[in-house]
Amino acid sequence: MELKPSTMGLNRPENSRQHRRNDMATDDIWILGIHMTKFGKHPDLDVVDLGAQAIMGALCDADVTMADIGVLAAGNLLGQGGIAQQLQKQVGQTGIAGLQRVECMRDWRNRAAHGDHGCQSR
Amino acid sequence: MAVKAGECEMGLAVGVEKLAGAGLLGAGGQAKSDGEQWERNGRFGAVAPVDGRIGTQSMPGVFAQIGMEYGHRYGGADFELFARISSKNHGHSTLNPLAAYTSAMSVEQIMGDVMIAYPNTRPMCSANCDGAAAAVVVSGERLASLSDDQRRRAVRVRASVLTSDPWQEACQVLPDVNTLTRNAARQAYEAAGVGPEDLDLVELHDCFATAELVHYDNLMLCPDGGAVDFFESGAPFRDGSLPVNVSGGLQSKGHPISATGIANIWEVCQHVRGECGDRQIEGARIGLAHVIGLGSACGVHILEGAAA
Repeated sequence: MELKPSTMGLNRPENSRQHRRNDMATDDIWILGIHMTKFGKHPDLDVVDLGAQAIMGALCDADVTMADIGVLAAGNLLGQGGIAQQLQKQVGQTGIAGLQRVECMRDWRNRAAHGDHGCQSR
Repeated sequence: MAVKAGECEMGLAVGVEKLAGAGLLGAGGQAKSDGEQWERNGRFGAVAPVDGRIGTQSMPGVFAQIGMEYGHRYGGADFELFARISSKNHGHSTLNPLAAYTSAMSVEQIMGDVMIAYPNTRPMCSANCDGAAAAVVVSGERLASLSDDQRRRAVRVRASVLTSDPWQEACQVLPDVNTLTRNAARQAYEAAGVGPEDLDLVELHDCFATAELVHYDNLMLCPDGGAVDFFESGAPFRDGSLPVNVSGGLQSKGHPISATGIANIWEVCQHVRGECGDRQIEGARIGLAHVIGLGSACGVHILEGAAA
């Protein structure tokens, strides 16, 4: 069996379908504003505080407001879920769709809670 | 995607994570109990915890393995090389005030730190931390109606690709870090109509020093098998021919999981806008941002400044 990763699965038909879709789907989208918070330890801020800070920064950078926004996509891995709606309550509820990219990794979180000698302690 | 589909003209994406103190992700901490009762358990009906018996899904374990595998296949990738990659990124982070850690680290310091999973010591692992990042995306049509300043600062998304694992004749549980990144990169270059040689900088998902090496290859920044030579040439340093992770990367900037993808895009945007201050890569016009989550998903964006 050929084990070289560079050749695995690349010629399957579903990949060429994806190519065509991406060709059409990439021409005309722009990033208007973008922001990141300071990364590090924020013991006094929860996910909604941090997410809202990022959103307000991005809106400010774009020079638009929540009223201009037609859809919100929010991602959070280790939280409780519902992050898009929680953030809307913080930054402006305009009735738009709030999509979640929440992977409920409860198992990971439970395991992580037990493994206390992680890479974060620097 | 909704903006692309024409359902609305402007959308907002945000990623946020509280990860400080989360410890090792993916596994660890559970005793391998070999009780008297063998009971089938879990998704795969295993009779005992399989992690550590038939491979590992712990993130440090997975990424230690891929680095060693690359070294075995192509040669030249030893402990010190991985430490030098990490030292590069920690050095880069000294110019990034938003990074979780902003201290330079020597190769000796890195090699002498706590071993997590050979060949990655603690500073060679991504830093668990809190953080968030958000982006406003807009259709070209709507952008045309906005102010000169907004148009000048806008960053064109030349390619936005998301892939998952393709089927392959291999273990369906243990993660394959390489294939979905290679697929995403290939699709992104095709969609953007640019090649790796057109890039001015790359922010890639260096969740471990070993990951950075294999992604040089997966993102086709070098010929197949040429990642060690690519690093040795000095190319991925900020004064090199193709700077990689000038933000400090996940090892130094930090890795608040859901925020990492947009933060990598943010870094590239600041450079192609020419707004990156002391950290600016002079004349940067086109950059690539890469993010990966095992399980698996991989995103690759190719971004171009409007002034170009």
